[in-house]
Amino acid sequence: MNSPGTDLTMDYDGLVSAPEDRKLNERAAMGRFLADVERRALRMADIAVRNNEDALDIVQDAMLRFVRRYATRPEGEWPPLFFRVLRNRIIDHQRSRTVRNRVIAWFMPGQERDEPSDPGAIAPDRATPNPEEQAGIDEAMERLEQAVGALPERQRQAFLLRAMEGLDVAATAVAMNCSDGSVKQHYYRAVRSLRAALKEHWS
Amino acid sequence: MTEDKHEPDVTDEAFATRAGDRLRKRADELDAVTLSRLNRARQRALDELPGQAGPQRNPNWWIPAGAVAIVVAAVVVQWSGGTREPDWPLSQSPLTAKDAIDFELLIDPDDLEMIEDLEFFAWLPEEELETAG
Repeated sequence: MNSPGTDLTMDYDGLVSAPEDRKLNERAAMGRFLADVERRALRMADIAVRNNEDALDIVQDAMLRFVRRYATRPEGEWPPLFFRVLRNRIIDHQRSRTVRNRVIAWFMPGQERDEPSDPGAIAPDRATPNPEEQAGIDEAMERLEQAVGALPERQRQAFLLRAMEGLDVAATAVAMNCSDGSVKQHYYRAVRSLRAALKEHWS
Repeated sequence: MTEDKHEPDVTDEAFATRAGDRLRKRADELDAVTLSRLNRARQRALDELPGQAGPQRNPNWWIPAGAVAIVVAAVVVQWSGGTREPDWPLSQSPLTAKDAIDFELLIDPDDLEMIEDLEFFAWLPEEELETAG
């Protein structure tokens, strides 16, 4: 049934797939990848900027830029590249917020703070059967996120990419646009700082 | 010195693993509204894939945009009074040439003198009849 000259390929199931099918497969692969990383990306952004609306905007922008720029790269390269885009969006947002606060402080002294929202602003689902136990976990989580958010930027990135996202040192270095040695240094210092800050709650 | 090597020890790694697990669990507990917004953001991003029917990649994006521009321009022209003269040749107009000339006479304020002349020409035959009578 294949007409001569038609661009058809055989996939692993032995099914014939046309270019349109490949586009659908590419969309499905990208969709799976974004669906996998988007929640953790949102947590990273929220911990960094402490504002749920801003964090959602950052993640959306990061997704758009990532797809436009890196969709044609091999799938195995996507995680560090996505988190590099996300990191750049977070940094851009923090810089613009700093500038905005300075301008507001210049014209309206005393009203300058663009206050971060409630640390738990992106509300987790609270449907947990034991309220007391949940309260203890929530408190520990609040302290952990506050401590991570208080880390210097590079340490926070290294910790979240390694510990939460599970990237190895090399991939983290790509995401942070730095050397492997820098990643190890920032990650080590982050872990030590967090342990010191949370020792009462995370024995 | 461990500090110089920047290598976390076993307890450091255990702490990091535990913290990472907690953070991932927290990330998986987002509320339905936030998940919905993430889903919409993802779909918008997927529309940007090469060959997808998104606003950036669709080669025919200008067709609906052009249609909207034409409609807007037509509305603006109509609303603002637009041109008073037909753009098409009179021979192709649904109106006859005579209708068009009459119409111009009616709407063009610069031709009041011509209208007065017409009244004069209409009066002339009556005057001639009365004179003759």
